[in-house]
Amino acid sequence: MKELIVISSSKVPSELINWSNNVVTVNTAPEDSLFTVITKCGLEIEQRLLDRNKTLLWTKDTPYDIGAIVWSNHVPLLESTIKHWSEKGIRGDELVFPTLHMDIPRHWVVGHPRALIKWASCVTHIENIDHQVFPQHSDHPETRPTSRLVWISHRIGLKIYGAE
Amino acid sequence: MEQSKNAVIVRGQARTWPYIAKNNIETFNKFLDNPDWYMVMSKTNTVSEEEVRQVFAGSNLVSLEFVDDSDYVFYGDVRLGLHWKKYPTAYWRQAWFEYLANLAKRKHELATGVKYKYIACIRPDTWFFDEEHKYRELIDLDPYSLIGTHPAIYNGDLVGADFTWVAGAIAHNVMSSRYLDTYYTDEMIEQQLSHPGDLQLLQYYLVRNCIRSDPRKHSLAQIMVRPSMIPNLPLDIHRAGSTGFFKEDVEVWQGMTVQQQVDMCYKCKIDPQDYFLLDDHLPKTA
Repeated sequence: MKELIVISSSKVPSELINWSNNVVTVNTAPEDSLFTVITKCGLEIEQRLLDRNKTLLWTKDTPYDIGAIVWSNHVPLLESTIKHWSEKGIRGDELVFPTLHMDIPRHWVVGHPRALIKWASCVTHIENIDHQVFPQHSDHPETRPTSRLVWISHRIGLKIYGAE
Repeated sequence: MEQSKNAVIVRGQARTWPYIAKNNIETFNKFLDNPDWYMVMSKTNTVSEEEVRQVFAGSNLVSLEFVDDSDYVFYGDVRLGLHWKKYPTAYWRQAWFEYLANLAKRKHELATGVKYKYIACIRPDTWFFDEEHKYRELIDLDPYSLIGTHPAIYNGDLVGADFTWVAGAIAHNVMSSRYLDTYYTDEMIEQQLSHPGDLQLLQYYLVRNCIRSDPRKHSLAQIMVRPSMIPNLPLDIHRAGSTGFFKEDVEVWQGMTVQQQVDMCYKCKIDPQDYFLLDDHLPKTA
């Protein structure tokens, strides 16, 4: 395994991810929406790859094998998920969310850096789209924002898995 | 306060850009209501950074980048470098340029709070006709759709134009991610070279990524301006219609030898390398 990178919103206490030596905290503002926070985290991953060699993004051989974006405090499955997928190997178009259940909010996502970059670049615009993308019974108001994070993954051709 | 705007990305080789830039900037400023402009071009002797900035005076040029081929990961590998220049150029180089422009765009969006509704991707060497009735085509373009290219069946394959499109916000970000397309790059990097068809690769990507393209809608009429067409400028839509979009002038350029094309480029103060004419191992470009 090469390096892991965990990108965390500044809204998340860093001691929650003390098992990793490579945690990067991204400055987010209190007024930032969930989607803006994720967009900033995605750009941070991108920038760290580009800083080393801006063409590396294109190849499989990115400096990081696996990465994570964390936007809230609920992280009990994160470490084990990263360990499992690091050993198994994660492809460039794969993401892992804590759960695939529509009625449970998500707090993080694990994935190949290239998948995280593509996904985060498209998350930016979700909040401006006012339409019903799921059947009503599976789109609860409290979980709708993070449900849409899963939905956009499907919409842009990424493969998703659940950690549970 | 969030603002809604449009953007134009210009990507490719400069070629005849100095002769047509003013028309295109004015046309798209009308078509997309004074958009922000992002430009990524190959390094060239055709036009300088200062000249590009001058022609954008009064318009909103947000980002300008000249890209050197030596930045590209394959460049140092002779065998792969030749392939990079020869076969997949039109697709992967354009994808690389668009990725860079979109990176600048996304940073600008985060820094300013601007949210682009429509994003046009155009070539520097293509003339756009100012057609007011086309403005209505954009009215109901949703964030996951684009107009300007769509898969058509040709001998059983999916083929489509790769010049220009106007995309909704998410469709554009997906299109600009094709540089990272794991379908061709997740195992050996030589996968990138496994399909030489630039006009097919783009359409495969559209379909794989669930991007909707409505063939009934059209972006502005356009034509690639070869150096042999410079005497015809400014181009007129009615004359275009009556001449098969300047068919004879296009054929003049395509019928020239490499040396004749090089000579014409120098005469027009165009860097011949914008057409890869100084690489004698490469086929001529259109």
